[in-house]
Amino acid sequence: MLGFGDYLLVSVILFFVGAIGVIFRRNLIYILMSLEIMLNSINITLIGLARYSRDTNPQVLILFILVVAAVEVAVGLGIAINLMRVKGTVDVDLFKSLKG
Amino acid sequence: MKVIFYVNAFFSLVFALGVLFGKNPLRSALSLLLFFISISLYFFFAGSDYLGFVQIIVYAGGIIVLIAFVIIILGLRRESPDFDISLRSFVGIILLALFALGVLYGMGKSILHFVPQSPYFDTSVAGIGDAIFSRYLLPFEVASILLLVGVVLAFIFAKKEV
Repeated sequence: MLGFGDYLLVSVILFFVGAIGVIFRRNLIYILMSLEIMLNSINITLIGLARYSRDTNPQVLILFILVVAAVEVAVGLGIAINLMRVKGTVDVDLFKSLKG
Repeated sequence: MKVIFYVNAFFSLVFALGVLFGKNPLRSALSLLLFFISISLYFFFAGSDYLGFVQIIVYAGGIIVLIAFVIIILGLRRESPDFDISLRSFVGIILLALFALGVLYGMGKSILHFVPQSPYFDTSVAGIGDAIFSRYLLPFEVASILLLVGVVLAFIFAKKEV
């Protein structure tokens, strides 16, 4: 029988995979894609909560997370285009303009 | 049901790893597309058809197109592996693993037996829309303002002279 624990297990594993991508990759595009993986894994937890606590509220929260993810990827890709134009690379280790 | 769920979980894990360890950015974007579709299957499993379709339309139809176009515009080709192999990364991974175990342990102990039985349960479009336009009206308006700010910011960042 499928329970909330199954949703939670899958969600935590996928969140972990996305976080590994954010930490290990240096390409900005890959970091943005890993962030999308992390946000989607959170949605799995919320839909499991909605299913097993019989609640509508997590579904509304999923819609808001979707909005935030869309805005985040739009702004992030705009920054990536601009960095490519100004610096000629998207390797995040090479950006030191804000370093103190 | 459980077998199908875990087969889907296996595929979503494979696609996520394909995004992570891919060398060709465009191929990673396609792997991300399959990952989003497998995520939408969890929504269908939970009986929320509306969110599943929204997931496919917004993520697979919108965000993937955006990412693929940016990869094509930037001309990213197959690169040498760009992993950040250093001490701080491994420290971060160990802390993350502890965090994941802590989440599994803590939430498994507390939430698994907590079943609130909310009176508002409804997975239909009408139920979600009713919740958004009554109890969540202010966050809905804030989300629309956030989208507007995102559009303006993306336009400003991608402009020629900044």
